[in-house]
Amino acid sequence: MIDPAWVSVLSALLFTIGLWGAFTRKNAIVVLMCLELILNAANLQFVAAAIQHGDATGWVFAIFAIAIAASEVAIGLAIFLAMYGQHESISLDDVNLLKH
Amino acid sequence: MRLMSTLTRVGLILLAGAMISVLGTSTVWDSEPSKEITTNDLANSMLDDWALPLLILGILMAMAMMGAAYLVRDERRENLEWEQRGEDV
Repeated sequence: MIDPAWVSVLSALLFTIGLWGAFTRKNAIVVLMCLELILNAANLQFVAAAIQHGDATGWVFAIFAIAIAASEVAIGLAIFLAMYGQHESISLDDVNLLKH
Repeated sequence: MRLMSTLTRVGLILLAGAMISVLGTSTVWDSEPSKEITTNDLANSMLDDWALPLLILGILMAMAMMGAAYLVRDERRENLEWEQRGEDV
C-alpha cells in the first residue's frame, strides 16, 4: 500500500497548483478546474488521514466533498453559460459585475 | 500590478515548500496504520452515523441541478412561444 505520507505530499502539491491557477488565470473555466484541483487535494488529504487512523469518516468526508464539487460545477457552468450569453466572453476580466 | 503578481507566485512557491516539508516530515505518519478500512465499514458509517448529512446532501444536489437547469434555460422567442402553445414536437 502507498505510504499515506506520500499521498499527503501529493495533496499539498495539487493544492498549490490549484491555488496557483485560481489566482493567476483569467478564463473562468480554467479557474473552475483549479478549484476542483483544490477540492481533490482536500479529498486526498482526507483519504490519507483515514488510512493512517483506520477510520472510515475520512472516506465519508471525501465522498461528501465529491458530491458538493459536482453541485458546484453544475452551478458554475450554468453561470458561465449565462455569462457568455450576455457578454460573449467568459474572461473574468470582462465580467466584474454580477448585475448587467 | 506586476510586483503583486510576482509576490503572489513567490508566496505560493513558499507555501508549497512549507506544506511539503511539514506534511512529509510529520510524526503523524511514523506509526503504522491501525487497521484496514473495508467498503463495509464505509457503508456502515455513511448509512448509520452520517445518514442525516447524506440526506441533506441529496437535497442540496437536487437543488443545485434544478438551479443549473433554470440558469441555462433557453429564452429565445421561438422557444418561449413553443412552450406557451404546449405542443409536442
